[in-house]
Amino acid sequence: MAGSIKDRVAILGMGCTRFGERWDASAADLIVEAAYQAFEDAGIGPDEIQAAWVGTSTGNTGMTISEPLRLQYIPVTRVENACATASDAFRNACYAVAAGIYDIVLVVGVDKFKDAGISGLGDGGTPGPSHSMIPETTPPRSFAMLATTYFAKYGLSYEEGKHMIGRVSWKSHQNGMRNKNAHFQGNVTMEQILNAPMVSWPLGLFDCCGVSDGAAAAIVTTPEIARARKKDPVLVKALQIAMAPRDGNFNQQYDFLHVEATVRAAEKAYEEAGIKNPREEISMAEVHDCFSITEAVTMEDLRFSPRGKVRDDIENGFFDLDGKLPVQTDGGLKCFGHPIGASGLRMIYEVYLQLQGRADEVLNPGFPSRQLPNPKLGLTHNLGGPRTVAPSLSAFLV
Amino acid sequence: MAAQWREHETAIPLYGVKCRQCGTPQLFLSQSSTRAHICLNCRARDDFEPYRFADKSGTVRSFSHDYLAGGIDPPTTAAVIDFDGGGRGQFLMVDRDPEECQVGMRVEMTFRKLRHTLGAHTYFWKCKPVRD
Repeated sequence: MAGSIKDRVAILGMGCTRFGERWDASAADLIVEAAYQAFEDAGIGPDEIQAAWVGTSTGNTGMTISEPLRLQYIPVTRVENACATASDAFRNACYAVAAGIYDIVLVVGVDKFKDAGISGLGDGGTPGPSHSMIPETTPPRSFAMLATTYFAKYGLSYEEGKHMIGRVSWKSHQNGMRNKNAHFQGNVTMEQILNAPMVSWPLGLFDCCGVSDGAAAAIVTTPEIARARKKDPVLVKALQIAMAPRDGNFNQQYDFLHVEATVRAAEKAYEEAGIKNPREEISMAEVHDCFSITEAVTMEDLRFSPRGKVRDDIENGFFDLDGKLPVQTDGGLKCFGHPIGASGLRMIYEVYLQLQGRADEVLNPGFPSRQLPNPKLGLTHNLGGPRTVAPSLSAFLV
Repeated sequence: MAAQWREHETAIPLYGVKCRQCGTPQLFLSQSSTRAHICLNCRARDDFEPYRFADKSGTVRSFSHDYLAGGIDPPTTAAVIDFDGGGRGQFLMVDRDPEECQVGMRVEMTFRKLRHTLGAHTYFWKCKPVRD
């Protein structure tokens, strides 16, 4: 029987770089930027770190961070788990502290995609002479299939379906405009979203997140140490991952209307945290909006909306910044882009800021406050998928 | 070359397996392997008989038209097919007007050119609408 992480670890400090086209910075530069922000926020120096984890899809070994930070012979592990890499790196760090082996540890997530010069992740096809016979697929195509089935099953016309998912992206852009760390800070209208070029039907340009450069870092410790140094630290309530057997494309039982890995991870996370009614009890959430339809379906998978009914909540503004359950309050993957190794930590950073009343530290000048009134419980959801719609895992920090 | 040799009894004739313990037909098609070991339904290990999918018709469960993929016949239409008798796979769709694609439409399998890599054409199974 598995144990519980609830209230056994605390976040002492965090950092997050500006995400986007960081031509000015190498991955190493971004790592130093994020890590030192975290050290300053925690009020510690690098010598207090006893172990570290790095989440990255493009870096190599623990040296990804030990080299730029000149970490002195401490254990450093590289974690990779597709788009959920950063959350899994965080999870591993937390378990090491909860196990009582280390008191203060560092997690850094980083990726740089913009130098490649393309806007997507490509198809992951095997290069070279031993090319497999099997055709590749792409993330937009895989996730688009959720939309195709959702529209058909729930009787949405093409226009109704497009408006539902477009409204998701619109809401995120409204939030991203206020965030000085976001990649995309522009004002994107519903008209632009609905008339955008098609990427993979029915997903258009603004239904898809972009790739990006960025890094984020967290310093994790015991609640005792955190309370000695900070007033009212943020505590971790649950950490769950569910890895799918990746049979969605081969098993007729999968309905292409939900993500089973999210449903199962959520079930276990709510149990671990003691949450009975997530729609009522969760104050805010950062979910994996790689595509607009993914966010919509995730609201049902997380039991924020009843199955098949998320459209009403979306269109009524239930998830808007001033709604009952604000989602993507920082702008999400939609506005930050997706540097794979960093995204999960960027989500945790937003929850961390909001819970402490510090959301306006990253407010764009001239915009109204982005601070939620008195949030109590924040949820992050990070979804990994190697080109399949039955993706690999979801992880939670509540 | 090694990958294609390993795949030649499965990918080329479109053979999957049928589990002897629970009777579930299943394909295993990934770029790293086309050989099933563990039944996706009952998790029995290596207790299969060969099962031919190439001659089966099926129903479209979902699809998408990929406008950025390039390929022979843009937009590239990919569809998830639920085969009559059991089993499922994802294949490109050909001989179709994108406008006519619908969840629930009937398709059958066909062997077509897939890509041209380093001087070699490769071929693979695709689906096409059943037409009278």
